[in-house]
Amino acid sequence: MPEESVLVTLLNRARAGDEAAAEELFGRCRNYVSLLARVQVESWLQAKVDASDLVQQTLLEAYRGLSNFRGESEGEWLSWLKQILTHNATDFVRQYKGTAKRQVQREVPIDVPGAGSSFFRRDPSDPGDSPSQLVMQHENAIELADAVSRLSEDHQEVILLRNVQRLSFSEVSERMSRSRPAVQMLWMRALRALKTRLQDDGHA
Amino acid sequence: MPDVVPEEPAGSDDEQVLEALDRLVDAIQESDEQRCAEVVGQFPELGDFVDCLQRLDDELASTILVGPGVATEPEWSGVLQGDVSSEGQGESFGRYQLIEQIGRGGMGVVYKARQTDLDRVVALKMINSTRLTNQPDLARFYSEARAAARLRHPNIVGILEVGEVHGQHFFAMDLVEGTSLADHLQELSGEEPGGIPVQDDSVTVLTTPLALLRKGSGVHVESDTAARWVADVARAVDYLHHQGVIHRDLKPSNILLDADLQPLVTDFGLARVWGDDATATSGGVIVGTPGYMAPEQASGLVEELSPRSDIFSLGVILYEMLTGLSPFSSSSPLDTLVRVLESEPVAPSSLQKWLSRELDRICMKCLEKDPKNRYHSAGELADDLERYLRRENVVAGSSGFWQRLRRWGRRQPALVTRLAALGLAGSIVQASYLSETKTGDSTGHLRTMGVLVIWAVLSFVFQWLLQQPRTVGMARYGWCAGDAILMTVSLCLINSSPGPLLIGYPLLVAASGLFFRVRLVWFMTFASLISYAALLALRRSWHEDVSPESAWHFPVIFAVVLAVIGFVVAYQVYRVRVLSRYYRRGRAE
Repeated sequence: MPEESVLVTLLNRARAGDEAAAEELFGRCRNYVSLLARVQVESWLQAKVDASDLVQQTLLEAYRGLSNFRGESEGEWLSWLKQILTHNATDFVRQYKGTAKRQVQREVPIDVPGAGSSFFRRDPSDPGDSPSQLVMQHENAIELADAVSRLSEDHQEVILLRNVQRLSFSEVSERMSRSRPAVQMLWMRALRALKTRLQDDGHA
Repeated sequence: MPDVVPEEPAGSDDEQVLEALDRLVDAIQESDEQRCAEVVGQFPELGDFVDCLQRLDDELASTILVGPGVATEPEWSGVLQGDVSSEGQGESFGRYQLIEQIGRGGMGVVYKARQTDLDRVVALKMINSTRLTNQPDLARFYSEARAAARLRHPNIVGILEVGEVHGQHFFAMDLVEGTSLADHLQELSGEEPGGIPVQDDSVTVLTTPLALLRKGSGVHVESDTAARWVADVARAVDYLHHQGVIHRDLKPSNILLDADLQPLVTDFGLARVWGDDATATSGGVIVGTPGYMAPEQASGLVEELSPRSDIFSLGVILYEMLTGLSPFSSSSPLDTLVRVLESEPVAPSSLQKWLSRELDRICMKCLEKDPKNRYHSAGELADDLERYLRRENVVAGSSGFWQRLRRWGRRQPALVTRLAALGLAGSIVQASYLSETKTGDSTGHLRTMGVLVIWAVLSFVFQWLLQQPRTVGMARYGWCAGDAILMTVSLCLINSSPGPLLIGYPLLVAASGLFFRVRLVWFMTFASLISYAALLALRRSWHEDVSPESAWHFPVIFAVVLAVIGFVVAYQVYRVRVLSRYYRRGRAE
């Protein structure tokens, strides 16, 4: 999208070699990537996991591969981050399970991701298949992720389980080892807190 | 999505709203706009939530669930399934085959691994990615690694290779089959080393000397063995120094003991090449482990860091092996740093009576605050230790009277400053008494001097209590209270109005801040306020010198200012504490 969001400005500056911009860019995306990493890994392992290494790895690879990123919009940028994350999540989960065997095919450079990378190496002059739907989805994702990360640990967890992983309350209460009514109350409070945060951010 | 059956009694409004909210989420997750509208129609207050829920679903949920665990089978889920079944097989990592994890430290995980092309077993140290997030960090890492890779010495763990396999940076090192000195010491102390030895962040590992004393220490390495090991390590460190590398982070966990109990220095993680890497150190970042750092390192004086800083660390290690106690470690990094900078450890032989004075001297020479007074090189330290082992006279001389006095003073700063202040006050009182012999009130003078003497004696008592593990907490408060009371008594005894002498109270409050305890500052402030009130009351009844017309509001102002001073000091202490916590967290990460 042509609108110059803060992220896109930072992205362009970072690509021009501005270290400070790169720092800020990754700093701003951190919460988003953390949240995605957490949900992705946890939904898969069905347990609470510290995914900070995965986040770090992802941001590091994104940083190192910055020159290979061809997209121009915030949405493309976030999708790109997400692809790297998904790619790394495989390794992470394997490592976590402690039995992993890294396959040779996994040792491909990060700038050649799997499917769905139409915009990955897209010629910048070709706006053809710009995934506009993705762009819309992502527009405020960073803001949302920031708001969620500022919630208390309990609130974050219940929202991630119920709303993002889309588990039923029975499953949520099992995962959090609390009674179902307790989890539901917690969830409502968490939503209220999040709503307030988002509204405050909107006004700020 | 399963519908939530409202099995709970829908008595309260909250429960109804909750249930509706749940239906709303289901509706949004199923993109069922009609149901969504229905729910909002029933519960208009939920309208606010729609936007928030919609965003959670659009911006986070829907994008994530494209991943594993949903209908669309990701191409790599099979890989994972395969992995689960192939338990126990070594994971391949570039040219290496990982065999098992052998350690974990601040830098990252260490694996035992087989290098497939050369068919040799090595240790692979994976560098924690949190350490290398940006280009300067990476550049620094590689420059350090390159510096370390050209070093070879029988007492150094050689670096074989530095590299990267899809984003994971690693060192390949000689594999040392053995334990680290830290684990060895821990085993001696009777504590089981954890399954995964903590190789770093002694901040959390080390207990305070007092805590150890309470347990009844005596955990130590036999003194000749300790001397032998430190001599060998010092030789290796001397070699590093000649190669232009300062280790900067020498500590027991960075010294490995191989199967023959030969010590090997490892982890040049923080070593930097002199001159080669000026930018890396220009920030003055404190690197190293509190408790093992030399004072110049702890105070961040990067430009003053020299090979002699490593000698200090070697002294700490020697001390710890000889006595079982770390000379500076304390419960918090801040206290540790303060101790490294200011306090003087007691001589090892006073903790373990059988230790020779020669070893004492060697140890204390390493631990000199001023680098100039330490050994000039690690080689000299090794020479001296070897002289000790051959039972020859060591070079480290016994310290002179002034040096011993200075050390004694550093060990008991609270006592020494009080004695100095009391001595000064006493001599001024004496001088003034002598200068006005005719009018002098000899009994009053004697009483004043008596109080000062009692004060001095009590200081010794409290200093003694402060050194007893059981009374240390109480002693601080007791000492503060005692100071306030004695100050009040001596001010009471003066015939004339105390006037400017009241400055003693703010002084007490300010001095209490030196213990770095917010609560103690508050305690001292209250003690001073109460004492001041008592002083006013006592003087009024004893001396009747308080002329009724003297302004009543002066004491009030004085008390308020005193409280404000207390607040300011407490706040400063609080700030320092916060910084200390921050520093600790920074290290723990």
